Amino acid sequence: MISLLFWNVGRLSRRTLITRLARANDADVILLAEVADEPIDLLKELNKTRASYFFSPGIGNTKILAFTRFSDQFFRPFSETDRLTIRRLRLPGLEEILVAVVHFPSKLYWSERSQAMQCTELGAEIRKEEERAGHQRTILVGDLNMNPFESGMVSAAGLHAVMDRKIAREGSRIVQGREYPFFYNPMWGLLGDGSRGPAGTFFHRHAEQEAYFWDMFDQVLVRPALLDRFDFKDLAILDDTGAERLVKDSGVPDRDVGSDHLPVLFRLNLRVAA
Amino acid sequence: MIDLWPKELSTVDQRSPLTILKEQASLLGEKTQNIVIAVLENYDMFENYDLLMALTMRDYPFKYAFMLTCPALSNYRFRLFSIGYDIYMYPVSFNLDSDVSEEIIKDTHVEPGKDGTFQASNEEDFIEILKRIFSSRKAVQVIRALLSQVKS
Repeated sequence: MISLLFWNVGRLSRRTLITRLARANDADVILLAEVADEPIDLLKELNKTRASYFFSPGIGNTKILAFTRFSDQFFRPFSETDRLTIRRLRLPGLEEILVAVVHFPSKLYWSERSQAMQCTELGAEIRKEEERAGHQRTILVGDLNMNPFESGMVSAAGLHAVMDRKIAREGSRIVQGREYPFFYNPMWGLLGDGSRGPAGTFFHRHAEQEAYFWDMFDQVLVRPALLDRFDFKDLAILDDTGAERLVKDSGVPDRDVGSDHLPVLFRLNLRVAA
Repeated sequence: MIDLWPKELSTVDQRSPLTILKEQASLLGEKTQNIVIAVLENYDMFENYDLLMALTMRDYPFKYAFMLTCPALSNYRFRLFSIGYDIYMYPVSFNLDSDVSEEIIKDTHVEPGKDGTFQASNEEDFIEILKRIFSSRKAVQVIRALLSQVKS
């Protein structure tokens, strides 16, 4: 199993917390957005007690940071924009996958329509890179700044991310004569207080008519080709590092300790069948 | 049979933004011995046109991304910017890398539109914006990083 941890750190220096989270959850790949710490300082902290992490720098994208428990040669950038880094995870003896990490424009600056339009570009971008890679074993992870039910997430020409793995297993759907591959979006299963863990990954109380309070901005999407390698129970929104709580007593993210976003952890079984 | 078509139908007296980009793309290859090349990617916006039109009237049927590409690094690609325009060619809308955008705002005090894009209203503007993008710190940094990766 390979463990991947994503966290939008909220432009705060959190290298000690990141290290605790990584160690407590045995993270093989750490993916971070809005990082205030310099990569070198973070790397030093991660390797303070045991030198096990490598920095895996982007080339054109320097806003999303990646650290791996294996040499960065196995997690090289494949395609990038200022908000997206697509890496090829190619570990010996394991199935190669594409890991697309994204940090989408915030709702503070972008309307839902603009985000949805951007999703059509992101969807097209991913499909193109899958074509170049010659497979569709892709996961998309990051701060999408959208909820799973928003137009850009669900639309066929957008990310086409559905809540039901049985539907995702159909592989693709034809709309107006064009074929669009599915993503499975397991984050639907973690929405609300009836789910295990926090009700979302981001909390915001709006003084307006429409307010969700909790948002599921940080998401993991899985292509059908990886469904057998991903188990829903191996996905979690984390609310503590093992040493401290990342949420207040009310359960909402505590920015004074952690970030305004909660980290997301997931595992994939990439072992090649004998 | 009477020919109802105008005589000057095939006369094209304006260079398209795409033509200009292609010229610049080929110049980059020459400057870097083809270690870093620029590829123009056609975003098939007609594919998504219905959705886009439903979402906004302000999108363009012709849309291209300018991708810095390094064949020696497993064809690594970086999207420096994308442009969009319609059949009238101008205005051209630029969607820039955020670092490049910040640099242009700082240097020129020209603010992008509400949707974050810069507009070139004619060929002269278009060339001016391209010049700024290509000489931006981010573009130069990425090209140099790719060259040094390959050379090491």
